Amino acid sequence: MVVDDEEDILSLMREILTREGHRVITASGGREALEKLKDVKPDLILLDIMMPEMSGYQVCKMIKQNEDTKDITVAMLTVKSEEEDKIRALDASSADWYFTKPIDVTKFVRSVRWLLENPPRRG
Amino acid sequence: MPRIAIASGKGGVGKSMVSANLAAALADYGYSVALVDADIEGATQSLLFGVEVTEGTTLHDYLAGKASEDEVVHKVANGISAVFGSMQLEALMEPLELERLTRLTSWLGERHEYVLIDSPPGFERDILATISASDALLIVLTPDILSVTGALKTKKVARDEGRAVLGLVVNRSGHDHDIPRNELEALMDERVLVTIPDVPDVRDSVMAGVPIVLSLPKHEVSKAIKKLAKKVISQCKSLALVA
Repeated sequence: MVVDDEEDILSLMREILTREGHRVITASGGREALEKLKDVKPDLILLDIMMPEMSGYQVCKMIKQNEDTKDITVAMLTVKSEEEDKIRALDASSADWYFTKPIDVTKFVRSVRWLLENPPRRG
Repeated sequence: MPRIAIASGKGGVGKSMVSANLAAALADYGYSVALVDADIEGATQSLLFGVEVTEGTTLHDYLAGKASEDEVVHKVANGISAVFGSMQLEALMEPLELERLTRLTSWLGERHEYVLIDSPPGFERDILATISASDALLIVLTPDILSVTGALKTKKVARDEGRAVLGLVVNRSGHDHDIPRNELEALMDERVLVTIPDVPDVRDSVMAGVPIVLSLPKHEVSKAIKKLAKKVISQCKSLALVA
């Protein structure tokens, strides 16, 4: 599942990931994502941090606090070289991974494949 | 001359083992090396070198203003000048002037080609004092996401203090769910200088009180540490930390 408020990013991600053989669902905001998660359990959620209404941190926290969704791997999308965002993503919102934007497609595809095969375990 | 802090965000990643062995490897290449055990609350370097340190000659005594530089420097294996921390609980009760650490590392830096500082884990006053007392950092981590989180915090502190990061040392690797090297580099936005395998021989060398670089020089861990030493030397040159 890809969650981003920017339409362009959603369609780009959909294209990249579909081409790699992944099934992709999208949500244009936190509320929509949480609503969809009541019906589907994706293997991986790619979550943008900077979104209106609910930030990616808030959404991630809610996913990780919910018994039904807490085991889903969540990767945050941060802007390159902002350590504070990365630390906050992993520490405060309990995300499992992060990707930095702009996305390097080759590396991103490789990392997604590895993440799906090796879901990170905390603790 | 460069003062290098060996740091990690999380405890138990093998930072002290890396520090002791890197000191031994640099000394093996003919450099004069000083090693400071600045892990104030968890000093272990004297055990790694099999040295018994007497009262009045530890880093804690220096930081408490009770001993001079000359009194706390011990000559150990390979001619390394080591400053050990006290392992006595009472030493921690003393009021310590952490600012004195910078004075000590500068003093050592004037007399040695490399000064290595074994830093405390975590993000309290101790680590700030260690970073202030160094010119550059080496970050030690294990290939898991919790260790990456800690390492990122260390990187941020280093950056805030204007210190260079020489690169990453990945320790205890070789397990099934390890984060691969290229993923670690992407996550940290730093280069992995060396990967050290998780083997029981390292623990044995700690028990024996001799760094593995000295006791088993041809061991794969020793080879990895020697490779690290070469990379540290070239990184320091490219950052103009050494002539």
